[in-house]
Amino acid sequence: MKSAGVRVARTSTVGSAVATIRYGLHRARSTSLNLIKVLRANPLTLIGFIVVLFISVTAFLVVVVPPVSQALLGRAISIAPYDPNALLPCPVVGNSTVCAQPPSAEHFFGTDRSGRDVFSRVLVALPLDLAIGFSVAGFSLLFGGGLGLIGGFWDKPWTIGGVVSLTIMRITDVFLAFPSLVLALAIAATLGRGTIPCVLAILLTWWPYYVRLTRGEVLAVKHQPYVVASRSAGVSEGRILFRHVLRNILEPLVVYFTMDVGTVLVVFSTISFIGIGVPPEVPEWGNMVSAYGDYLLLFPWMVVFPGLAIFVTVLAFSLLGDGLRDILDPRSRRALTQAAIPATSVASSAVRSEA
Amino acid sequence: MVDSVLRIENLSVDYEVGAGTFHALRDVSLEMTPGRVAGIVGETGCGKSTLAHAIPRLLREPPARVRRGKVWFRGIDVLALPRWKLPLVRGTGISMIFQEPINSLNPAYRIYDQLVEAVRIRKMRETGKTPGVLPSLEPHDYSTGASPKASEALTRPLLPSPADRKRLHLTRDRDAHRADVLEYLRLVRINDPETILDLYPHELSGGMRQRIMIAMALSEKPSLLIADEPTSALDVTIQAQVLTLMKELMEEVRTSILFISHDLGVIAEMADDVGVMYAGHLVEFGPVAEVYSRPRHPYTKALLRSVPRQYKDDGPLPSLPGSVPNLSHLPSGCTFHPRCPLARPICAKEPGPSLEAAKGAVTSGHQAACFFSDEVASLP
Amino acid sequence: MMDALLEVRDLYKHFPVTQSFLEAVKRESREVIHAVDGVSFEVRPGETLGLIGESGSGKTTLGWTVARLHAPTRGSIRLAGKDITRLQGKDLRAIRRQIQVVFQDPVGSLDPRLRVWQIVGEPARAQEAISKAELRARVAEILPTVGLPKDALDQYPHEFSGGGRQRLSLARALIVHPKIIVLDEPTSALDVAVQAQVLNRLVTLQRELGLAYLMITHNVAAVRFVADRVAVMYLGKLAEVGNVRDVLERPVHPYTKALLAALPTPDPARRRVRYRLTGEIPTLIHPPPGCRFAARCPFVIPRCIAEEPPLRLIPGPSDRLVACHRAEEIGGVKPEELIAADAGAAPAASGST
Repeated sequence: MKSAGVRVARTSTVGSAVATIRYGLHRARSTSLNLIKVLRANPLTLIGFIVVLFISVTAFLVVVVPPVSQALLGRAISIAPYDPNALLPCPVVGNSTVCAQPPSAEHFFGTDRSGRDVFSRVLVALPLDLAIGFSVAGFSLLFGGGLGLIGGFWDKPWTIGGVVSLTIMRITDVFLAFPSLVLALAIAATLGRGTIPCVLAILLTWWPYYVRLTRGEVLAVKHQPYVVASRSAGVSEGRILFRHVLRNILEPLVVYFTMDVGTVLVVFSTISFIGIGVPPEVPEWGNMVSAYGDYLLLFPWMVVFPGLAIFVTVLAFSLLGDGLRDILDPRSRRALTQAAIPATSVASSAVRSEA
Repeated sequence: MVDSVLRIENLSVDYEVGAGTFHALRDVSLEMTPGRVAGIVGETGCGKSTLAHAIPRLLREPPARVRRGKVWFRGIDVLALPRWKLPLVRGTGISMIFQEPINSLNPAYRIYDQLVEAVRIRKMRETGKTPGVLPSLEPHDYSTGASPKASEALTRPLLPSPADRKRLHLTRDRDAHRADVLEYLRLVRINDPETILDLYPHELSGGMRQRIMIAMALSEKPSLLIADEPTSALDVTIQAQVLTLMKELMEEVRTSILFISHDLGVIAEMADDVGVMYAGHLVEFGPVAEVYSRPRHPYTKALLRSVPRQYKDDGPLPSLPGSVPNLSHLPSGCTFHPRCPLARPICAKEPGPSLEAAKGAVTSGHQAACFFSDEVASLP
Repeated sequence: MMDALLEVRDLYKHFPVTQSFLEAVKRESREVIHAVDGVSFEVRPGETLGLIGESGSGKTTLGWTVARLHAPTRGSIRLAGKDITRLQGKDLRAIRRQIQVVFQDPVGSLDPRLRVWQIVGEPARAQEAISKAELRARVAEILPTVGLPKDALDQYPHEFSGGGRQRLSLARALIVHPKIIVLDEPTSALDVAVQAQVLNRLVTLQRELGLAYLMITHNVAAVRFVADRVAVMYLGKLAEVGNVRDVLERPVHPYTKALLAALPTPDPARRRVRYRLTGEIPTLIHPPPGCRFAARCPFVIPRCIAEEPPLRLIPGPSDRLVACHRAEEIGGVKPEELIAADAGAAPAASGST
């Protein structure tokens, strides 16, 4: 699609815009048809897709509805039934005031020891956790991916590109040598408590994986015959990078990214769980599990629901990521099944000619 | 009555993949006479490789599915055997060599260790501790060959005395089998075999690797050797050497060979009888000289004609229009009819006469699955 | 006499063998693979030069170097009179209009993520600014010339058969109207029946468009049909060059004879023969001082081992270049004599009915 927009020198802008849109629609249509086909074939992917969709829409609503309603109606409406931070009056049972209430019709997930509605807290934590997952993974993809691209594409030894590539890779190796969780903890502990320091810590440990991944993919594509063919057709190196290399590595990166969102989430929750990271009163799933972990047997709902939220979210992203490969590239399925068929490949006799 | 070494009856195999069902083999019937080389020739996708893998049951059951048919190997119904008995038939009964020897040899082991495996199995069978082969299956008599040299190498007991046998189990010494391994290498005409014992497969050339595969395949004295495109990945001059080797060994040990290739020339050189396959169907079978000089199926004729034998000035190459059909959407009736110059209305409805379990053609002659096979001779 | 379209003089292409770190530190001189070691030839406009040889012969490297996909180590390449040996960057890309390559692997040489019109149109876009609509039109025009339907524009490569993909590669090479196309094993990945179609197409296009081909292959039958002249390579050097009919019917160089003798022909009458040429094809890191074929040659004499035979003109009915000291003596030996007839085996039952 971007190629349609780039090289249009002679025809009118409107004409090319129309053509681009039409082409874009055509591509979108074929991708969605594919999507439906894959979803129907893979029940797990379907589950992942639906849950991710649901989660995303919910997060969107949680964030967007209050300010929009404020602007439109004059008062902010929130999706959450209760204010997540409000300490609700605790019912008195017998002689004591028991704040922690089990799940009921008014409080779907019950209340915690301070009387706050767990359901509202879980709901409000959703956009936070999701945003962190996407932003860390996203930034790592862009930054790490960019470095990996450079490191992979211009890596001929004894050239400037080669030296740069070498430097990038060795620095990456240094970061990779540390277990990410430990490093993140160390950085977070140094920077102090808080959401931003925590996110920064994870970020610093996250980007190296993308460098490795991207570089590997670039190296694999770089030596493909179609890249050589393009070069022989007179295509400049830059165009080769954007047209052929980028397009062909995008798919595994997107798949990895999707599954990575879940992983970031787990790490973030873990760091919060340990006590570094998000301040204790801010609703965040890991926080909530940590704060009430001791009460697992007494008041399970305070721990189980946030934990379940983490679990479901991460699982959904994983399932979706797994199926994403099939959605983006229908051919990969055929390739997998063809491999099982013994066929004398006439093409392999072509391998003979090496030198 | 000579028991045929291989008899296939109406074998049909499908591949069920997401995109559809591919009919890789349909009603293939064939019989091999012992001591002869049966060649199977056809283009990519005709099913010859599937056939080769189906006989020793090497197909991956999903996605492959044997729909119908029987495979009789020396009187044993291979397809009906329980899985645990299969190793008893393979190796000593049916042995196989493949197209790319680099894939068939374990890259992590040196040549010596690859062959030691074969030698050890043979020795262990001699001790009687491991069953060599199905009790009903006697080992092929290799002493009937013309030259005693090779058959001697393959038949003499490697462990003549009980003391030797005992030592086999006790020894972990790598070099215990050195002499026997060297003998195998000499069997396949590798000069100075000592030099290659310590090399890894990737350090050898393709021709050498294939010779080692042949040595390993013959080491268990199989009654049937299936060769699936064994020389297609080799250079022309090396291919000639390996084919010569195979011919010489064949004369010496007289095993039956099922030789698969897409190269009409290689089949002409190696095979005694040839079967031609098209889109999963065996369309012609007969003695190789007959089939090549007087083909009785239009496809065979077209195939033979499309091998370029002329110069540019002699005009365009005769070429067959159209292309091989998609195995999941086969034409009705005879699958060749859309491209056949002799096609008549009946061809779209009926699949053509089936080849009776075409016996080694000396007894039942030359058959073709075409209603109009008599007219093939008059085609250009 | 027409000027040659492609003139190659004393071309060398060496690849360094990677050194271990220790070797680099010790400053040991790097070993090189002499893939192409001093090759000279020319291709005239509208003619086909077939380049045959086995693996290790250097024919593919030669083809790629001539098409400037590699930088030559030494020597010169002239295309339509212009020296293209040391061109870089934009100048190099400019000459791509005249020389194109069709690659061996029909699957790998087409980007699986792009559509036909993008793949086939790519060389044209690289040469000039051209709108998408016009590009599509040009591609639609060229597809029928290779036997593909016009409406294949929006399909993906994997939707085509091997023969179809090979045609796509060919269309991609043709779209800039080159003067010469380097065909790298155009038939290896194809079945015999499809090969015939593709070869016919190549010949037709050559006649219609006045194209020259440098056809690199080990398929001698294909070369017989398409080529006007043929060059035989062995271990980086030319062994024999000449008119296709002459070389294939009356080969002079022992390697050519050996190669032709090794070809299996679909003629069962030629069975039961033993091929006598022994030995493996070595790789060339340390070239011997004499003839490279000496180790395997049945006609070798001491001079062959000591002194390298130059490629020289052998008088005869047509121009023939042969690199052999004994060319005149052994020229008459037929390839079949390199095959020993089988002595004692029982003939096959000659199914005569």
